Amino acid sequence: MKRITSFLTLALVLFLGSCVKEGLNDFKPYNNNELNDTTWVKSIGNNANIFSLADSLFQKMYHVDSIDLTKDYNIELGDSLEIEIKGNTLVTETGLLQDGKAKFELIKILKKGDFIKVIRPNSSFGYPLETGGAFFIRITKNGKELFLAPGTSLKIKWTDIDAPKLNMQAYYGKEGFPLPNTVLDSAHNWIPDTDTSWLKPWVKNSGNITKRGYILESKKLRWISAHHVLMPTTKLTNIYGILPPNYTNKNTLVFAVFANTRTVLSLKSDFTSRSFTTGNVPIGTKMTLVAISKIGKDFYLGTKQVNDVGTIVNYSFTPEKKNLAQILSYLNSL
Amino acid sequence: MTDQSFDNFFKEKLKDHSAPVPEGLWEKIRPEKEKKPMGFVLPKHTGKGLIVAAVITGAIGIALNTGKSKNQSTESLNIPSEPNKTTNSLLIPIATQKDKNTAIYTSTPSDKQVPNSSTKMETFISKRNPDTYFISSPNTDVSNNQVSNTPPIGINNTIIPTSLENKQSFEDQIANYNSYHPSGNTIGLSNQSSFQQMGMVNKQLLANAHDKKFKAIIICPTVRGNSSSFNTDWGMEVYASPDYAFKSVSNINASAQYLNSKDSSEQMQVGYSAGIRLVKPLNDHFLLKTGIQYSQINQKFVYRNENEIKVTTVITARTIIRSPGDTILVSDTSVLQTIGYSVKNVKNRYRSIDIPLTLGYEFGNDDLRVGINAGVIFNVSSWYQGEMLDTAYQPVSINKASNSLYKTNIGMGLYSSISIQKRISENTHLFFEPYFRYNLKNMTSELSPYTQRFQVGGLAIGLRFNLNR
Repeated sequence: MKRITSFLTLALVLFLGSCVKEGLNDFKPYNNNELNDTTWVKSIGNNANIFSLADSLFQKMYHVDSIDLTKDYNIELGDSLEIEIKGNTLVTETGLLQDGKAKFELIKILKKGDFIKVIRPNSSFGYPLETGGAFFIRITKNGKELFLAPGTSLKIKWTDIDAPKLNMQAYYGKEGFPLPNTVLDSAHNWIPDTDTSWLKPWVKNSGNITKRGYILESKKLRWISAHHVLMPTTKLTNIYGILPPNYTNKNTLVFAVFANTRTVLSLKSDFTSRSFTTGNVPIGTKMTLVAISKIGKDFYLGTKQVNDVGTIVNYSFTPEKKNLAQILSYLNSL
Repeated sequence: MTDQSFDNFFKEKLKDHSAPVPEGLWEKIRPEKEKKPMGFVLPKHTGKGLIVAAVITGAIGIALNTGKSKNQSTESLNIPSEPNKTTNSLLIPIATQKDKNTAIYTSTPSDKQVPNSSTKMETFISKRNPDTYFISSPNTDVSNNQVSNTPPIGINNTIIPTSLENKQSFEDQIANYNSYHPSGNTIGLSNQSSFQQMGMVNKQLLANAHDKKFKAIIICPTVRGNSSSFNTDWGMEVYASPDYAFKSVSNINASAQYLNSKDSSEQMQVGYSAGIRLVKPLNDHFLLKTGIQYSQINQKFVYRNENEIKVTTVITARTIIRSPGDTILVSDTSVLQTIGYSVKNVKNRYRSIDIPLTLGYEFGNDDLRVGINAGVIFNVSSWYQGEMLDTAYQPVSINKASNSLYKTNIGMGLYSSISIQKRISENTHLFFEPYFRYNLKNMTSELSPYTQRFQVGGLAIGLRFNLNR
């Protein structure tokens, strides 16, 4: 009888034991998914997602025209931009004067969001600048890029979105060599023109509308801008943007968008602290930290309002999944 | 000296006399019991012949018995008598030397007969072989004034049930008769007063004895008087069973891809049944069973959810430099997202309450019996709980309240089983019953784009209790 009792007890235990694993969710991460890659790298490879992210933001919104290299040419974009190119001023890389037709490409960069989209933050040698606008001008003939001959220039007159500052100077964008294939250029830096004179602002009243802007005589093509160095009355400090482990220096770009000046800084990745940082930020600056990531095929956007630079220098925030249009729309609103 | 005083003289002299049991008698009997074959297995030498003879003679006996009235064809081994009038009697074994395997017992009154009291004689049945019984004086309310000088009845190779229930006709006659049995195969009756009546009665007794001889072989004697073929025992079975269900699905208007996905997401697992049954033996072999049982079919629903993001809170500590020479340690709490797939394991339960009704045939001996059962099983209620894939390949819950896919009653099914039972105590048997249940109807409703039904096999293990003891 004891055996029977033991047997029945065992059977009962087996029946009850069959209920143990019910409802369990066994989670297994994907091995090769980029979201699960939380590693930081000291040297970012060319296949990192930030390059494709930059290209996605850039959009390549060129204004394209055709010019006669032997004639003076005046390009107008509505009433907001005029570019005067004199004839016989464009030469090849080796200095040969060119004639005939050439392809003219222009990108106008005025808003803070535009500087993010072209990944050209407003800083020079690590110090923040305030911009009055920037342009990318490229003239090519038969696919080969032309340059302004020494001693020549082109004139850019544009309507600015803000009231012109008096201390704006011409800056040229330094690029990596060779030129990178993508818009993201880690070597980018705004270099002031040797002519440190201030740009001439202009004002034109047309009825009730007053248009104001700058006139810039550029001695170079490609990245041209009007900037001036911020001269803060306060001390400078470093700031850090801290993101969740999924957002690494391989897939994320972080910018600081100043609230009171037209200044956008790029926060470089700091491998040691696994964070994004920039220096020489005036204490008390109000800004918005913007993190844009591309993980796999997904885009993420994170923002953080900062009003107390100095008291706190590290800011944690978490990007959210967005589509590219949403991100571009946000950038256009800056 | 009257006849009565003569009888009293012998009774007085012989009342303390007992006949010694021959040495080795029990040793000869016990091995026979132990060697007793079970079921249809018969002894090599006599089994086949006896069974053939039993069938033939039994058929004749039944045929003869069919034409008799109830009053004429009753027999009983136990006729209850009034308790205050009963006295015990001695069973005196008489061993014959003709057959070493034969033990014959008869009863003789041991006490003086008390007026107006009857003597209830015990019945002793000794099995000589599986088909042969020796029965002595199973019956007999013998009145005080009807002392029977019946000599011991010794019968070899036959059965002599001496119980006669036809009391009204027989009690008047029994006083006038002394039945004796001089030889092994005959029954002789002597009439002391009227040979004419004795002849008639003798003829009737011979016929009765002839009938009962074969009935006792074919049909087990029962405790109830009027129906020799009806077993009054009742039993109860309590059992539990591990089950395994076999699912069969056929398509109506669902896509083949959906059915494949559904099928691959569902794995049948061991379920169980438990129930209680009443057992009504119709005779030694046939029995009816009915009761109620609870069944649960278990099914493992496995669903792989792709691109699931697992969020983990992490705390990181890092050193940052506010300005040259100003280093601080920053602790940060953030969330880590991990993408992967999750495997969802849900146990689906298909429960039902059923009423089985089966007819069984059993054979064997008291210790070990084998039976086959077949019948129907009526579903009282069914309900389900768990998850399944919908046509969008997403898991959806099914439960008792919101379920339009499955019926709440699946109707009737067929049931068959083989049982093996072993006696574990006087009134209790342990049985093992592998069974198979075939459901005749689908469990899915008309709204379902497919039909589904379960066929269930299992091994019922339980106890059978005899309720009559």
